[in-house]
Amino acid sequence: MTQYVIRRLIQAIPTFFGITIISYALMLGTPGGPIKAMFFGQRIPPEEIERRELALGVNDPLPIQYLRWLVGDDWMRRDTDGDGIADTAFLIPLDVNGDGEPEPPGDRYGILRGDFGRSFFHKRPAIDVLVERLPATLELGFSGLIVGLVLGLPIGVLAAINQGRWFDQVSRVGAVVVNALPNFWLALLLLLLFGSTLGWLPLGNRCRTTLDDTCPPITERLEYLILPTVVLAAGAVATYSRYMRASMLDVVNQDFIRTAYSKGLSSRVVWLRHGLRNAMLPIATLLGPSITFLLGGAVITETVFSWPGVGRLAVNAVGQRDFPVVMIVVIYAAMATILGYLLSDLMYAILDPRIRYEK
Amino acid sequence: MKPFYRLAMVACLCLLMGVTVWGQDAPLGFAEGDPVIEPNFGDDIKTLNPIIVADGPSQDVINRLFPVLIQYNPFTLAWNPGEPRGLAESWTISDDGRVYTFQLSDEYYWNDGTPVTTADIMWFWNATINEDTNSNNQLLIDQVESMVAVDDYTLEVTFKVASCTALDTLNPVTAVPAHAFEEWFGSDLAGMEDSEFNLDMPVTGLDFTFDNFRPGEQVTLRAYENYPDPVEGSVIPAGYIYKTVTDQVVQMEQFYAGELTWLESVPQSSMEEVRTRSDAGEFQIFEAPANTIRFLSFNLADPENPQDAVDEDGNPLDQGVHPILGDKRVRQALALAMNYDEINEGAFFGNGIPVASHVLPTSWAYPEDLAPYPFDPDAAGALLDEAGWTDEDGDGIRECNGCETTEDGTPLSFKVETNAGNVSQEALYTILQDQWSQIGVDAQVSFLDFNILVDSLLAQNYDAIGLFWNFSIPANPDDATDVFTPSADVIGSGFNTGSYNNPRVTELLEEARLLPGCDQAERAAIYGEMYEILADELPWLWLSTSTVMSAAQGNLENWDPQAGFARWNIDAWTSQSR
Repeated sequence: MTQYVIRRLIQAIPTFFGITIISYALMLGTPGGPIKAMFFGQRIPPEEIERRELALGVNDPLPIQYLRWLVGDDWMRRDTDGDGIADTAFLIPLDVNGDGEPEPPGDRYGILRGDFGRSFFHKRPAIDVLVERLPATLELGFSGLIVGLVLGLPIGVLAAINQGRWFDQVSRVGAVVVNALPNFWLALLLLLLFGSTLGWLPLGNRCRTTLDDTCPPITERLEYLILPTVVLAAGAVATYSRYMRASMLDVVNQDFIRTAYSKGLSSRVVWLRHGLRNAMLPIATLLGPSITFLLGGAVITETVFSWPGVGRLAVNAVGQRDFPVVMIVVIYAAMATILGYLLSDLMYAILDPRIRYEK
Repeated sequence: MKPFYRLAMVACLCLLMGVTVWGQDAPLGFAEGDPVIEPNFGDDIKTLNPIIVADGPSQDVINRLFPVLIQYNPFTLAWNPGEPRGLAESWTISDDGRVYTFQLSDEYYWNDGTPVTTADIMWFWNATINEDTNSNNQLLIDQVESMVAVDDYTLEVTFKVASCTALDTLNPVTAVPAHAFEEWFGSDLAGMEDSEFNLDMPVTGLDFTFDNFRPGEQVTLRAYENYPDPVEGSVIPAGYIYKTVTDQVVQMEQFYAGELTWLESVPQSSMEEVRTRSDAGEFQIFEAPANTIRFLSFNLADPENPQDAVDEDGNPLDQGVHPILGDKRVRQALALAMNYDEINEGAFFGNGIPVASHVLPTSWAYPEDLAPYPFDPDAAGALLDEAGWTDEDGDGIRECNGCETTEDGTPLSFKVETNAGNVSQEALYTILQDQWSQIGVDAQVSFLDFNILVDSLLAQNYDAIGLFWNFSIPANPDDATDVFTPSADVIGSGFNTGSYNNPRVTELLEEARLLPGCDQAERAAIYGEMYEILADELPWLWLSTSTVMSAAQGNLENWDPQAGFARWNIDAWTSQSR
């Protein structure tokens, strides 16, 4: 198993770089740049705009910008005699703007050396900006995933057991309705009902608004988590329940289930011990993408509930063309995707004794 | 399978009970000593450093923390010595009008006990003019020749030229705690942007002090009890919380539930409900014309070959003429074909205010006889006929038949681009498109991502672009210099993106700016002539401003917002009961 995990992680490296190259190219291909977004409407002379674009390196060719992001630029333009002025250059000119003065030496190390760049707008390391948003996203993502699984799987099992009866019909209609509901609409509806009309639950945000400088532990503010979790989990419940139902029905029509019945086992034992475990296998394939989706931040849910997560951060960063932040979110999402799919594969082994990854 | 049902029912009951128990929290409301809670609809603050600030949310918070050199009066909106927040107690102007000598108050102290002196202003100035800090106060850098601290409380500012807008130029000058800034940033101004102190300012000098910033959630300030200049003798609210609420519907619901103390701007779709509820005493409201207008910028030059107005040596360049919008009569016809009442109802819920030129009706420079174009589709059609745009083929769209700007047969069709995601903006242009189609004009409206729009605008390769313009406070009519003079017609950075050039307008702007004695009535007359020229030539179609409604909880006392300075007495806001 360990060897398999290591092999999969090594195989993921080209996938990871492929994702970053495509993302970087797409990001740079979109019209508008960070300087225009930053200074639009302000009285900034053209030469000042050029100076700032030069400082950020946003006018360099795509491969150079990508290389700078990946492996830094301290080796591209160097100060070899220690006088603070760059004197050698590789891949990029020593004097970019043609003013006769060399540009400052490169000071970026690139993500491979742990330098994820600084946010153009937040003026802080992009990694810091991401990390401070992660707890909120993980909180909401895991809650959504757990509720989705805890409700979705039993509903699917019950629907299969009661095939054609009222529970099956209700769960089927419910799944279709929930899947058809736009998230923003459901979120607003729940907020207006439970937050505004009934006054039972908070109207968004992650914790109570006070002068204190920290959000209390999650156990002291569960009420803030309920509505966003319900919205995020609604789709997952609908999807898992339908997959689980179909999978269970596939399994219960197989020979080994009939054999179990013929041996005189009770229905509960047949369904749960023999049927459920086998029916869970296809569900494992869903889990990987679900983890990716839920950990990647739910943009709409986070926006409606003013939830300070990664999704909202990513949308703002894309709008502002804040490349370092966009790219660190891409890295995070790529890693979540790779790990999600790896987890799916590992769950196969756990659920199906026939699958073994060792030689 | 009964146990499953039982389990499900128990789970549902537990959930319901839990929900009911959680629902017992009291709403926040506003009681004496509570913090003022204001929503932030935008992005996070980026910095608390006045030298490098470049975004609205950060500036909002900075305004609560650092004293400025001069402050305008909230009621007259005129620069006044001795206003709260403003350090200048008095000032004198030299005979040549270039040197301003400010006498600073000696009553202001930073919250660590250090007095606020000219050294704090000088630190701001020296850092601002240092290229390493990337300060955005370009106007200040362009117009001020020098700033000198004569003594601890006397500051001398010399301008490059004597200008009636000198005080407006000094608007961003802010005192920063020199002793602390020297320690934090002094040796490395190039590294200022990267300093952790930009989001953790322990030394401040107004009625609130910085407490904490929770990214994506809130910025918290606490009352500074030793603040020397509170409106009511002491700082009454316990603090000020700038709370992130990213959805307008939720923002309104939080306000209705008493979780927000006040809203600076109620969405237009909610104004009617807030008005009704304020009549019942539930809320207080304040309504005033907005400081923002919606405009449609016409490109008057050839969009196929954009050029700066002048070359490096100052010689005019041939910018060509826009094949349709280059003719003034076409632009006037578009203005005449606009049915403002219909737009106001359809896009602004009746809260719009028509605008006639590049000036708000509330400005001191507004000429009395200036009026928006009337809705007169017949006159619009006649003007187009006169300009050589007629519909000979009967397809409903006019073509050039003897027009002066393009070849015969060219349809009267052009692109209108505006920003996507703004409901009223989208409604406005959809209605306008329909109204113009009634006179045979084919306006192809597209709603674009803001960055794409900015690209198109600055590249000057568009036909017409609809955006917003924020006027400065206090009103400074010289703002028009940045929009309607050749010096601002620079591809990639200038804001005269439509390449408008009327030497008389440039002359009038300079005349009003440099008028000896700076008599306001005389300046208003000069600007009045300019506004009338602009209204006649229509480089922009000034579409609308609107009523801005501020609202506060009904029990909030001393809430007295003024147009242009809503928070002037925020340290006095209080309530006797929840």
